[in-house]
Amino acid sequence: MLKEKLAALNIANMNAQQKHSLLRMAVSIAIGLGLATLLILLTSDKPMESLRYYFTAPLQNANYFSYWIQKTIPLIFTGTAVCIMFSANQFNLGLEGSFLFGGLVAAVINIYVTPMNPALGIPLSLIAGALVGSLITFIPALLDRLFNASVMVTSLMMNYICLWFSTYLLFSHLKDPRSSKNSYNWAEKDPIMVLKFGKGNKQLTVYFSILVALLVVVLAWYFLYRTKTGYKLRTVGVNHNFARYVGINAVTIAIAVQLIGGAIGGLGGACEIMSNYINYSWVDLTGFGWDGVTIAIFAKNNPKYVPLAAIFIAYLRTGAMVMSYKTNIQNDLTSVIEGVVILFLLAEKFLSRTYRKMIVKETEENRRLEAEMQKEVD
Amino acid sequence: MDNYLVMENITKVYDNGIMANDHVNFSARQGEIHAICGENGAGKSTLMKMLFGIEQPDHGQIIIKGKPVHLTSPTKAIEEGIGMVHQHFMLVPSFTVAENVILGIEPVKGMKFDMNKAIEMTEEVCKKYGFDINPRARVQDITVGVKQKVEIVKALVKGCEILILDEPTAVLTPQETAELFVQLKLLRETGHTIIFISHKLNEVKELCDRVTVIRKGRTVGVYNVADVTEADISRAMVGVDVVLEIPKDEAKPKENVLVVKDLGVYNDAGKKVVKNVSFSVREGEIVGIAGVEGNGQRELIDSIAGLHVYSEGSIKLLGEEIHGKSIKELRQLGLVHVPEDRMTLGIAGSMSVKDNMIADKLDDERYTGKILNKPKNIKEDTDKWIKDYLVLCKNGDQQVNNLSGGNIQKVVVAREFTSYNRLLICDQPTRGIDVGASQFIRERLVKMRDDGKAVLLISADLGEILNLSDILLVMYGGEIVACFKDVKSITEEELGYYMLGIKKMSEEEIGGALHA
Repeated sequence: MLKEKLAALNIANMNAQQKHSLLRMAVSIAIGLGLATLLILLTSDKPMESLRYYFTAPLQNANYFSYWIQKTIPLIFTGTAVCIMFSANQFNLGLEGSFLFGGLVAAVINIYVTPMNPALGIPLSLIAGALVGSLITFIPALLDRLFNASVMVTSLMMNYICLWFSTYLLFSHLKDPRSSKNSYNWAEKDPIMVLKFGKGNKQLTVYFSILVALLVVVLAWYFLYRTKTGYKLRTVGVNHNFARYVGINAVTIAIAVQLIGGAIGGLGGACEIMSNYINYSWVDLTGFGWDGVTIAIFAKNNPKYVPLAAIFIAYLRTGAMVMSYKTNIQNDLTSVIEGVVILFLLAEKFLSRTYRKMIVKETEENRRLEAEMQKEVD
Repeated sequence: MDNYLVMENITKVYDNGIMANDHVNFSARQGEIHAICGENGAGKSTLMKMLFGIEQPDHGQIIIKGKPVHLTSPTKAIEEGIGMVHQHFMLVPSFTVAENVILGIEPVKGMKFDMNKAIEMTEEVCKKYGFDINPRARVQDITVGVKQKVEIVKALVKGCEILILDEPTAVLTPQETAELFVQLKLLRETGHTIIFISHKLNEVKELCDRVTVIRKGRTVGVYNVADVTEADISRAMVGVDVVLEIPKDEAKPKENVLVVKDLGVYNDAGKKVVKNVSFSVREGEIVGIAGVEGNGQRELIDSIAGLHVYSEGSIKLLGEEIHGKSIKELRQLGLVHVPEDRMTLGIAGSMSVKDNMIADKLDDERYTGKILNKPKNIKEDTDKWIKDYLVLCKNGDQQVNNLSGGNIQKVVVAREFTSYNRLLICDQPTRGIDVGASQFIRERLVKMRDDGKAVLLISADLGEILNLSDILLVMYGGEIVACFKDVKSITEEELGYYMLGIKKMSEEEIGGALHA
């Protein structure tokens, strides 16, 4: 009898917050997609065709499908990196820089080492990408430690330092004199880390980097939820007073997570360069660093949900891309939709009345049940 | 006029599921000073936040002058004639007094801010209510006592008739307090209603007409201050739960574990709050510290637990001076600590019961290897502790936030008692939790003592501290004023005299707390 009530109590308990958070996510996405549909219907010349592309394009042929996967991979990397940093409440936004520099370093090694020795060049560029990536997020962390400089601000500035430095390097050293904006090539036709089958619309691209990305997700989850450091890191993130009281050194943890986050970002950049390019030509931030924040918000800072969130966002982007290609609707639609969804997801007061009702009801019910249980114990 | 201000059946549940107010009733008359007393976390601040429109009640209604009102924001509350002086001042330091006072209702001349009018308005109110403030002074240059007056004037300028003061004397010197009281009485005469939140009972007695006591989110009662003693109020605050005596044998104390000598501690505001305190705790005994809240116990305990830096004297744990040691080092020496504020210090709310129980044992080889955790061992042991400590939860993976206060406290106790320990600091171990859980924790404490641990117990619950302590110290004004070696023979009444500073033992008797 007691046990049954206990179970009832806890099921009710577990659900209020989680139920509501799921509800909020579902409603936010529904609003976003609803708005997308509305905008397409209002502005498209061929509304039904546009909608069909927007919602089903990634599944229509092998080419679009490949594009979908291609767009998913960088999101997995940066999303996971942000999950780790945000789990410890470290709001380092230097991933744009890490990603860019990861790509840059990989490109340099691919230009100068890989053609002579691919067995050394490929792993070396991935490792170097990760190392340089971690350096980029480490600098703001260090400035914070030494001079108490806001990580958020310094890491944002870091991104632009990276951008202009890499642009300089491209035009002063790496650029192929025969080209106006590209570096020397490091491959003949296809990027290093992919295999392509078929032609035209039926062309399927196999990305090896997705294996790296998924490995990173698994390791990140393992790190956060199964290691000593990961445990300490989450504790600091949840309640730093408590962490101090049980004797956890929060400073070391803060620096460690930023190193790890940057490394994942840099690795992502290296994979991106080697999966999609045969030369280096980045003269703008890739945007994947910012996207990482979006993905982490969807995944609630848990790496486990990152692939799901990344696939979802990449699906919408692929749909929008194909739609803009085939009809008169602009690709930017998808940014608007993402923005709207995130806006509702982060709006704390959104659906708060429903939550109030749920939590008040639940708390009263719990107190009543507990009082009954207490009677039985007495 | 008894329906001047009525708060009826107010229930407030916070977003994390904590019920801060449970059908609370409160009413105040026009022209009275009404105290609200209750322990920390009893729900008095929550109630006042609802009256000032910062929070909204989930049930119940607020009636002002017979008219139900919906106070959805402080602006609304100000419109209804309510003003609040927060514990931490809400002033802009670089602005002048007048600029602060008229903030929100700035007078303008054309497009420009009318400084002269602002000063005029401030002076008018000051004159009317007898405040002596220079409106042109910068807030950063004035004393705390004057800042408080500025806060009050700020509320009065906006036409406030009901003034809420949240622990107004906490930061004041006795002289400033006396001055404040004169002014508050003056306000009462002009028909203002003042709600005075405090746990300094002598002040309540001196200043207030009536007092409402709140305990564990519920109204205990409303009393005419003239009809009750400080002890009555204190008893109502702490609760007269029937305490079942925990049976225990005579203590068999052995070696010293904790030795505190000539300790002096300053609080964050730079005020000396622990003065010349010496005592020791030996293996196999429970040393209790009684005292009215705010008499230095907080800082004393924080210093011993490594959370606060002390500047004078010494604290030795097993012979080692703890000054400069990290909390981790102290814990390795065998210090465990059940903190008073369990929600801030005692748990990581959104983590699981299991995670919370293991938090201080992360470097133990049984639970973690060089890198990875050992989930099997963690689960095995935490499951056992959940059973041993009667934590009512579905399993170890449940979020600790979702448990009731009593069960959360059992999680804290389970974690601390299962770690390597020589000295247990238990700070209000049963505050705000149900009788069953309290009994359980007290029994555990006695058992730990019998196992040869040194226990330092701080409690506002007199029944508890008289029952459990083998040696009882009383703190008043930052000093130890009494040391009872025969705890059984003390009455609550006698203890009260020491707690209120009416009586004090001789130096020699107090010196008995320290065992060489």
